[in-house]
Amino acid sequence: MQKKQNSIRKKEDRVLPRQKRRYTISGYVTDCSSSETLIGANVISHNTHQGTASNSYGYYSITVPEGETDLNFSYLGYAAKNCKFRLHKDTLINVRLSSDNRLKEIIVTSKQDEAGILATGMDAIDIPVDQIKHTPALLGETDVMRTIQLLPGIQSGTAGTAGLYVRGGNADENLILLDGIPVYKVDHLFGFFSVFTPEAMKKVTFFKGSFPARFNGRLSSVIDVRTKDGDMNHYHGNLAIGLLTSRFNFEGPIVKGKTSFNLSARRSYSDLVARPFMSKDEKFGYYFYDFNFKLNHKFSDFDRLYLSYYQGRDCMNENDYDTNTYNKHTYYDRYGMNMAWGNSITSLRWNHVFNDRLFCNTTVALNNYKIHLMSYDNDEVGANAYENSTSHYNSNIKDLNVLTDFDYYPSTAHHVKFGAGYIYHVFCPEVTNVQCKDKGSGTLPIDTVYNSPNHDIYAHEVSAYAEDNWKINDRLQANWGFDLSAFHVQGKSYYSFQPRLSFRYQLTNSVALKAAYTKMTQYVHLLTSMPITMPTDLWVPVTKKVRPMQANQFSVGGYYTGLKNWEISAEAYYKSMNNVLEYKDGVSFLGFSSDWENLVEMGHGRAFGIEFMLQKKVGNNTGWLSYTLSKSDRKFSKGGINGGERFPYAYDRRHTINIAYNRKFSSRFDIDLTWMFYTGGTTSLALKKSAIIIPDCGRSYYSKNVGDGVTEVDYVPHRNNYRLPSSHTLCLGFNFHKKTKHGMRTWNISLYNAYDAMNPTLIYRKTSEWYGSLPSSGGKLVKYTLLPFIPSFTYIYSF
Amino acid sequence: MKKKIFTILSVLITILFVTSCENDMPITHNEKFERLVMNAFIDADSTNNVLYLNLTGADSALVVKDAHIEVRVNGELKEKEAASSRNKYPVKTQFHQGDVVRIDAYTNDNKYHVWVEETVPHSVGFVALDTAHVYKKFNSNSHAGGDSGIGNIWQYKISFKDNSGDVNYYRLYMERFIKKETIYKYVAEWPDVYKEDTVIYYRPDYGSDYMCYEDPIMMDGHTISADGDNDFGEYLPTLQATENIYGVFNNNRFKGKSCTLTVYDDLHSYPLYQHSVDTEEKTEETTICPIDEIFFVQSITESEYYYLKALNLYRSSDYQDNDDLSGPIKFPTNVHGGTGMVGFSSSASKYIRLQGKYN
Repeated sequence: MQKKQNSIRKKEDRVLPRQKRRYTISGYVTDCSSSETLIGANVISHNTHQGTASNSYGYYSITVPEGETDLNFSYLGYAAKNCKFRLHKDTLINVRLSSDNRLKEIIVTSKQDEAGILATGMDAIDIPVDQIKHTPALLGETDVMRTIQLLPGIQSGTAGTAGLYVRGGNADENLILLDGIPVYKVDHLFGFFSVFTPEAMKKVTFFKGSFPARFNGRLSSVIDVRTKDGDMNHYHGNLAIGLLTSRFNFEGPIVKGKTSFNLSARRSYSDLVARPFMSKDEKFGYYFYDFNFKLNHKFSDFDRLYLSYYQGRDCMNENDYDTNTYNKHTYYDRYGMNMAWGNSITSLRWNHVFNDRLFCNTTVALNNYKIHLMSYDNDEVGANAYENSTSHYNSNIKDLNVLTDFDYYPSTAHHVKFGAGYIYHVFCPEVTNVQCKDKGSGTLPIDTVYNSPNHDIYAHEVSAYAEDNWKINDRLQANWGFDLSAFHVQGKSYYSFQPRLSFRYQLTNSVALKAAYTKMTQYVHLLTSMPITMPTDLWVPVTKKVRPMQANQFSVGGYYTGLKNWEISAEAYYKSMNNVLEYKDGVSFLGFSSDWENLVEMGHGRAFGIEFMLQKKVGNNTGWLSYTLSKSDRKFSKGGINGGERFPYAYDRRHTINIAYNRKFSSRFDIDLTWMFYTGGTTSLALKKSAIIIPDCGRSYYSKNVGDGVTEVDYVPHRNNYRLPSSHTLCLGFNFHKKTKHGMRTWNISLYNAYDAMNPTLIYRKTSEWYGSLPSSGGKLVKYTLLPFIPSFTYIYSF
Repeated sequence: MKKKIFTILSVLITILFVTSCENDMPITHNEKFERLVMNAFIDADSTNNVLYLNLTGADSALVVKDAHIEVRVNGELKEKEAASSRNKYPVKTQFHQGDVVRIDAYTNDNKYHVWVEETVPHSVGFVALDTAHVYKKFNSNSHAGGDSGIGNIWQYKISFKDNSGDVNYYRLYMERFIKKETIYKYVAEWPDVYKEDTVIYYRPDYGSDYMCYEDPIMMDGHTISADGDNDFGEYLPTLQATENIYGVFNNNRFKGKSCTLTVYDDLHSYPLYQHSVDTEEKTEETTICPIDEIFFVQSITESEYYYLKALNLYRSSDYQDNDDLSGPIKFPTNVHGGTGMVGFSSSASKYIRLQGKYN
């Protein structure tokens, strides 16, 4: 018997050890206090040295071998958490992390999928909301766009405005998403402030290069803004009162642990302050507001529903009243206007977890941007004689968005994303309606309506994408994917295949190299003719004549993390753009653009440059220093612009230096500093005299200098012919905090343009005092500086 | 803490006083080269066209008289001309609709060469020209309007048929001829009637000297009422509808079809009939002024259309108010190797005579 047992034991010794099975651990990473999901939280398996990150809804999934498992969860600004357990089946673990602002150092060993120096993709940056709040602000209005302007490769457009010109692209080439839905008009007050309030934001990710395949529709950048879901456990909020606006945020549970809400609002009030001082016969007002509301319901660990609503508006109005008495008659004249423009976005999102490896988000949204202007003039002479005219101007874009996105984790080496989307666009370009009524004035009575002939344009946009973040081996990672899109408008269809490729090679422990190629297609354009944004800037779709814009971008970069807490990067890029649009020379941009297709020309643009960045993210001293060397130009070969010759892009600024610095002295006092320097962009200046022919005066016109038949005129030799001087701006912010019984009180003092640099906002040639003519030889330029030194203060109370 | 705040504020105030507030900047540029400027409006129905040559300059545009031009039609050299006087170069070739015309200009020192190539557009089929005398309010701000207010003015309706094709460009052009005939009649002391005729025949107006602000085709769909009610522009310059001073329009609203334009003129300076009496001597004086008008619908090239649109803007009061924001006008050019505008047109016209006792 013992012989038999020994024999069996020997047989057992000769059997190979059972191969370890692999199981998936998944769940949500949330804030311990508010249950707010954490986007991009790092999940690392210490046993296998593999990792992943939570997706845009805080969901993660990681497949590891069975047995003893040690998972580490970390997120910037939160205490890391370890979970040690024995894994023997697919497991659901929802992790709650505690916020820890005192943390001096976080060792980030993340393999973040999407953004950051360690991500596979390049040119992608996570912008902490805290950083946005600590960027010194104009009139106390912290702004995500101003923070992004401090990054390398970004130009700010006209000084002081919040526009973004990324790597030689136009302002309309940025895909700006609010919880996944594109926002058309992202600014207030003619471009000086953006529509995003930091109090409502949870996370902002900025892509300027290798865009993930799920993003399409714009050429130059993607700004993915995610708003807070709402605290599921406690009520809290904050109130800020500044010189320009007041804003508040309030969030809390409706059903604890199940349903929460988040509400934030902002309104300017200069109109309310000034109104009592206006005469009763003349009233003028301007204000803007933003309103965000979000409802979040958790059915179970597998299903969540979000309902969001955003509305932002700029409103301007004027009302005047005159009376006159003449020849025993009294005349009454009431005239004025009301104007409003802005976005409304309503969206419903459903998160569903199919299994441990498959996550789905489906979004249905209505998006509406519109502008309405009404002006009136009512003249009355008694009850029987009147002249009334009312004019209406309307323009809007309505989108119905249906999108579905899947996150699939087939193995640790692959993270697959795929999905599809459909957008039904209705473009309602400028529609005017002028009604004139005239009675009793001695002429034939008139009751006439003039309408403009513009018709709605309907378009269908369909897209599908797939991408895989693939860990090829310990050193090499790749993110590869594609986007297929189709755009159908006016009986014409356009198709686009957009490959996306990026590679990351870990050369040493502290040095990584990246390379990327991206192709993007854009089907809508913003027609603009002023250096500042105007509410009448018009979004128009591609048509039978105007083809989609396309861009191909190549980039390479090197990254070094060998210095403790420091990140150093250098990136070079080349971007080629086709079918970019510009107005032709001499087009009447003072006026409506019902004929816009014939007013623009398609051409080619290119941009290339190199960007350096030195950044520190942790500790009492944080910030970055960046330098960009870049060049960008355009060429329109048909000849309608600049005679077909290449010319520099308006925001072709050769050198740009940005410094952002935050110093935390104590829990009660900290300062923020930003300094921007850039060499001048370009503008078109009349530097010569030329002769033009005026119809119908040739036979009688004679000029001693210019000769017969023609008249002298200022001449712009070529577009963007003049290089502006350099600009530089220092902004400072001082924050004084004090804990109160129920919360925290903060006084913020901001100094915009602290040393009052007179940077040129607008420039034109100085004319002589008489006759408005240009002085002979040389002369001077006159510059307007719109934003000199501007101090402000803001009171913030958080509870 | 207080010491820190004081230090910070002291440094900031010091910085503030050290900065400069210069508003003027010298112009620094390296633009030294000049360009040859070629300008002409070539009427295909005329053999007396004129082309003008100038040179751009830092202080003033210059006359170019030492040059010659070559005119080719459908690839064949038709004429070669030198300056007839100062900067004028005659173009005597008869052009026809559809001709591909190329004009080259060379300075005699061979330093500058410019050229333009265009196709002579086809004229339209003029259908009708009607007039009516209406009592109406008219806009004194119009470039063609006389005094403001209300009165009897002439309404013209011009009907024509669009050419086939995609986009066509037109200009409404008018010439007015007045034959002024004065009859003096003396009664009472002289039993004979003394009649003296004074006839003057002249062309006081030509071009686009009419009011078209209420016509949706000529105003590109965005009319201005007689009160000048286009209030959008008062609040947003980008919504200002520019008055169509040169009467240019395209066929966006009537492609391949007939259209009718409605324009007005008050003709207050040209009374058709006047009669005055000297009561003491019962002298009568009668002036009869029939007015002959010819309306031309000119088919123009695309480049001339946009050039005249730019001229509309350049001559409008709106542009002067807004050139700080919008920048200087960059006139379109179709001249290669230089700058300028050479437009080609062919016309269809209708004649009408206004006479009677309308005042």
